[in-house]
Amino acid sequence: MSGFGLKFKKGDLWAVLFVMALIAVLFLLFAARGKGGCAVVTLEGQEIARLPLSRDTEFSVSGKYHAVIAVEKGEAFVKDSDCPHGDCVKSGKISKNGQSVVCLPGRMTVTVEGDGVDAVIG
Amino acid sequence: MSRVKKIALSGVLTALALALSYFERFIPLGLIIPLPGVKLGLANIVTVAALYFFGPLPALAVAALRCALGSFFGGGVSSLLFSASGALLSWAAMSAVSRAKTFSVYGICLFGAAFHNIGQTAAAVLVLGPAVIYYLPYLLAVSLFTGTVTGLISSGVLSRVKRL
Ligand SMILES: [Zn+2]
Repeated sequence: MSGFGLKFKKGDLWAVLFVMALIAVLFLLFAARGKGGCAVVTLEGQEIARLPLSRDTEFSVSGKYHAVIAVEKGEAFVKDSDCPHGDCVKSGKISKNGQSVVCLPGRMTVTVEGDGVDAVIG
Repeated sequence: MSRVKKIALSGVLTALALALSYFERFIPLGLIIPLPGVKLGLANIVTVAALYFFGPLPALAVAALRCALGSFFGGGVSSLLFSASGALLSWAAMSAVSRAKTFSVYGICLFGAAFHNIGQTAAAVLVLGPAVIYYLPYLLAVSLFTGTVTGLISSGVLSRVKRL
């Protein structure tokens, strides 16, 4: 028996405060980000493409599932995917540094990164 | 409580945890909150129960067995990585704060839910790359809700069972 109480205590609010503080710190850390330069696509943890946000394009990913990633008007998004639930498609559009869309079943991520020198080549 | 009874009851709790994590797949929380890996964490309630009745080490055994058997019955290796990292970090946090008299079962469940998400995000960073870390603050915000729900259920169940 560790014998902790089963009724709500005032002390439990410290747990709430702890989690809220953690959220605030993470948001502050991630907030320092501007408009990104390109969308980096990874599959199974490996980078497979860099799509500059300055140019409209579409990119097909054939991993465990088939997905189409699109760049339109400076925003990247998963346009289509045959993964179960399609959460990545519902995630919407991203354009700011560090923003990302993740497809958990497809083991795929799309992340916006700052303008690298190599972004011009794409 | 005798050693044999403890082991037998730990087995019952493990089976219960497996059943709950299976049952949880049918609660479409992901439809309301469109984030990858969002779960209510019902199996964590069993870890809390084991912690309450038996203490930290049996609770660890129950959590570890649940993850191992869960991946054996239908997950595979990567699901083991995700569930184990979440369950172990959650167990560690809950065991640590269960000793402090500051918290009741609610505070313990809140820590459990938050660290479950931290553990899963860590596993996701390993598997998917660093981008997924940006989901963590959102997942933590959700954990305030899921932690309160599991706290509510744990409080209700444990105060009715009281002793095994
Ligand atoms: Zn997907």
